[in-house]
Amino acid sequence: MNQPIGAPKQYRDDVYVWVDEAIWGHRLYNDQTPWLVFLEFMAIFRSRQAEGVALNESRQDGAHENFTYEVPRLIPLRQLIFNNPYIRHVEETQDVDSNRWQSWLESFATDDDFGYLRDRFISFARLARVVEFFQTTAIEPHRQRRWSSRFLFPYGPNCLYADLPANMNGASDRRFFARSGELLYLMLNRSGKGPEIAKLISEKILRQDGTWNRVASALLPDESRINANPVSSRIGYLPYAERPEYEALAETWMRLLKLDLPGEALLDPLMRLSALHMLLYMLRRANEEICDPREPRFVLEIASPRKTTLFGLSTENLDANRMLSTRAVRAHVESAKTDRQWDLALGARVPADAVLAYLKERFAWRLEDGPPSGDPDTIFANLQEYAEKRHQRHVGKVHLEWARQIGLVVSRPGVGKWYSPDDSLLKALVMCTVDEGREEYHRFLGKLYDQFRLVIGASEAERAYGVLPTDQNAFTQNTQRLEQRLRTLGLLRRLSDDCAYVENPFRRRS
Amino acid sequence: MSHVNQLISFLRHYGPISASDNMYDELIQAEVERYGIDPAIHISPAYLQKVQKNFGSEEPRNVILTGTAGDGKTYHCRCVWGHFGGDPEQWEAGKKILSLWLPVSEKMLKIVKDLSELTQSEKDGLLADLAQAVTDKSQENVFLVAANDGQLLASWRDWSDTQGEEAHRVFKTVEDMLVEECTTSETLNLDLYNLSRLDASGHFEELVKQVVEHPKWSDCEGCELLKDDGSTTCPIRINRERLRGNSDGSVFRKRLGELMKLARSNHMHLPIRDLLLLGVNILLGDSQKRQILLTCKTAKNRAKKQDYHLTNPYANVFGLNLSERQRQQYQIFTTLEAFGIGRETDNKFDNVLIYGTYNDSDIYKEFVGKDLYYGASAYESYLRDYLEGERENIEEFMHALSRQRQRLFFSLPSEVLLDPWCLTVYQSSGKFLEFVEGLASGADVLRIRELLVRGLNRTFCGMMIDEGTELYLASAGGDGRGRIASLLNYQLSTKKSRRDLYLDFMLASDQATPCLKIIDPLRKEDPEVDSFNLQLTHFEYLVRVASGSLPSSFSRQCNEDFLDFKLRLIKRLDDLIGEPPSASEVNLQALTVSREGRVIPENIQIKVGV
Repeated sequence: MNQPIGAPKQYRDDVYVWVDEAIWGHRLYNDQTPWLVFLEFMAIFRSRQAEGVALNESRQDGAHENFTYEVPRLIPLRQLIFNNPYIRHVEETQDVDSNRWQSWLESFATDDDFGYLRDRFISFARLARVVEFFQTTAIEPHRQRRWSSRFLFPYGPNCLYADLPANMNGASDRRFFARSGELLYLMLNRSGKGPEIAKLISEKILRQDGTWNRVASALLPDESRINANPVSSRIGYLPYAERPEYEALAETWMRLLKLDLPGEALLDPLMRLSALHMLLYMLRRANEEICDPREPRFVLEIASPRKTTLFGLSTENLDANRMLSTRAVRAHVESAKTDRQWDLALGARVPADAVLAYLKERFAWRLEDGPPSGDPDTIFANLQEYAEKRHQRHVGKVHLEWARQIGLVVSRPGVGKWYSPDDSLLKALVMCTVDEGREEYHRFLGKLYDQFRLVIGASEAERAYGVLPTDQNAFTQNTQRLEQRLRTLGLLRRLSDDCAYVENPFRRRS
Repeated sequence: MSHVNQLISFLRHYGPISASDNMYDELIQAEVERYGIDPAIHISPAYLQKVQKNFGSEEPRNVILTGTAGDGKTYHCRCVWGHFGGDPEQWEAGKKILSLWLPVSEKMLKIVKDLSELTQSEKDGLLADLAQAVTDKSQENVFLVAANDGQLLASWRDWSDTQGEEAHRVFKTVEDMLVEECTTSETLNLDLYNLSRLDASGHFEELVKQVVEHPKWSDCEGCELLKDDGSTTCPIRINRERLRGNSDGSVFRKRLGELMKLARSNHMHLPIRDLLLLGVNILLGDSQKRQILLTCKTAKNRAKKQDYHLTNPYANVFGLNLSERQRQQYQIFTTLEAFGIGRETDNKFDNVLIYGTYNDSDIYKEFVGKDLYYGASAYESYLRDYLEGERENIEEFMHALSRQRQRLFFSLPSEVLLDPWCLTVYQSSGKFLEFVEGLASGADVLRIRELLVRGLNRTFCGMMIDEGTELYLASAGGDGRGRIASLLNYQLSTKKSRRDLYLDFMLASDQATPCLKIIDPLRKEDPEVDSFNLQLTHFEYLVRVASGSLPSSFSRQCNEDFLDFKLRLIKRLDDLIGEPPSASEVNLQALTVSREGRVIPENIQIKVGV
């Protein structure tokens, strides 16, 4: 395992203890759902694309990337779409177009003057339709977030903006754009395929000339006022310079971006699979910290009318995966004792003080509740407890939250939580894995394991566990249920008793 | 000693009671001789003529025969062997690969009876030679290989993984041929015949005819159940008459043939071997516990006790004389059962069946009353109990009702007021067959085309559009999978044009499935922009949606298929004819639908800054 890059001092100074960040980076955060990770990434990309260096950031050997990116606020646009109940009301209570405009402009009092909309849209009804359109296609509409954290569907660069608190002109509070998107950006940057992917992104999903992107710009006032006072930020911290996870992530992006589909249809699968790759990254890093050489795995129980033996296995698997990050934190803190510094501190004149100083230095420990008292072991236990508690608050919840959001985990009150894929995830997996247009079914299952560690059938279970963890029949039926599911999604064709093919409907005809 | 007809004993061997269900053709030879069945019952192997002609030509192509067990692959090979002078004893000797000299082309024909019999190293050797033969016409060997499709692809893929790029490309071509059902390749010296993708209806007709018209039926003379005037109470002979029909033909057989055609276009497989099994089961099926098939003796018992409800040929079509587990072993029964005949119904039919006697319905009299064995007599007692009686036998009544529906399905001629296809899951099957027929013969199918286009419009836009001549491709915004798509991307005509893109319907390469194609007349070399095969399920889906059903209620799979097609098509059209956007304004077309179902496009023009 290559050595991690040193963390920038200002970040270490910024946190109460530097453990989660040392293991996975600064930082992963449960409240930032996979869609928001994706949006943050896109915002960063756009900013860097304007400088011509998107995903091609320079980095000195052994050093971390060091750049600042800027994200516009686009307050007028968001006011219009997400903080504007007057449009509906005016449309319903007034008939004459000019009256409508007048009423609305009066009631919609903000810092900006929206008169330019009248010149551009001419009819009030048109404006209403367009606003409605953006509202109905907004991201994650069911989440009850503050209106300043609601996001448009990213039709293009003009739809990207920063997450802001209610006071939109102040500093960003990093409540929802919590830097997980920065980690995604850094991973792709370090994958070796950054420039290629950047080109594809610009051509397919972040086009200036997209229809709805231009309509969004019509909703904004003049250019000069759009980019005033952007939110500025330094890029976060990702510990390792090279990892196979980055390359796997890049491979997924390349495959999806090359499909025969309009750009907008690619966003959902990209969002889901990026989060899946990041979950795998978390698990693998955790395994490294606890020195477990095994590969992570996800045992999927395909939805069945009756409970199967795989249910128990999958539930256990999820529990173990969730616990893994906490175990990693414990091991990481524990590793302080193996350092020579620890022994030196123990041998000092006042061991307690020396140990405290050592731990404070090593983990950037800022004592929230004042200095702990007691002997070195008590102090150490204090640190352990603190690190774990902090971990449980946010980073420890990432696995379950993200896995649920991408459709990998099902949660039923009274029954439990386990790994079971939903249709959108299955479709995304087929779109990404079946890159030659079609794949024989069992080879497809093998590829799902190779690329994403998904265990559905018996041979993958054997590869993951060494021996079959439960009876073969349960796995066989699992694959049969998946086959049926794929067939209802139009993704599988059975040719005969021993021959079935998974088909990707979006592969370019060669 | 009661009278026994040897033909019956012989036929029983091909019903669903055989312990071993392979070695079909070897068995026929032995049994035919034992029972003295002359002429022997045979199926003309579908591709035999073609294959023989191929190997007799000056430049023979390599041939691969695929299919599942019982499709006749080995039989084809044996006939080819014999045709070119191979020694039958050598065939029996058991060698896996046989060689034969072809004088006309001066090549060595190598026949592989069954790929799965070869060891791994033999397979590797064979595939290496075969790959060479298909890429290089000058090779001195030419091959005839019989293999299961799954086996063939797995072996070839595994072998090509150890070779280079070229071998992998060859494998991909073969895989394409099999999956796309192409029989011949333009790039490789190879023909591939998939024996499980045949039109079973023709074979079935051939088989049934041989069975019901066989001279050995005359051996029934002298039996107590057969009177001098030809009338009979023997259930076997009664069933035979049903299959024979009258001078106008047999609706029973016709309907069976149509079911098979439909199964084929829906990619539902009917093994050839199962066809004889079906015929025998219809004739001899016996629902008495553990009997399964009639013998001459048990037939007499049924006749004496008038237990005709046990020998119902219409129920036998679906293997209802077998236990559920036994039934599921035979592909043909699961395929036919998928049509839902007996379960599906509508008010018109049930009205006739349940109230027909009280309404003095002509249809009832003609089609239920007149059938003395399987119609009213088998059914009326349950009906009376249900309508007037104690209702103690509700379950029995439901079974009897179900069997009447099955019988009606197979006995209603198409011209009557009631459409027999309403008794199946695929209610538009009649239209489907008409459509395929029309596309093949060039007849006028305009009404069906309009119906399909209407269904497409409703699916693509998610709104109750009533338009059958223009196709609207609209998107939903966001990631494109929303149900209501009201932003128009493209509008395509269904009329042929010399300049503009249009939508057309034609038959796919298998000549049995209708296919929807988008044509760009300006691209001479490759006018087809995109295409979509309309299997029976898709056709049914479109007809139902056009008639008012919600797009995701009949079949989620079809809905997904069509939405994927729409997204892909929009992307291709964007690449082909997408116009660069105007710099100063954005033009959108929003669709709304009037109460009459007319599409009203509304032009939205928005001025944008530079």
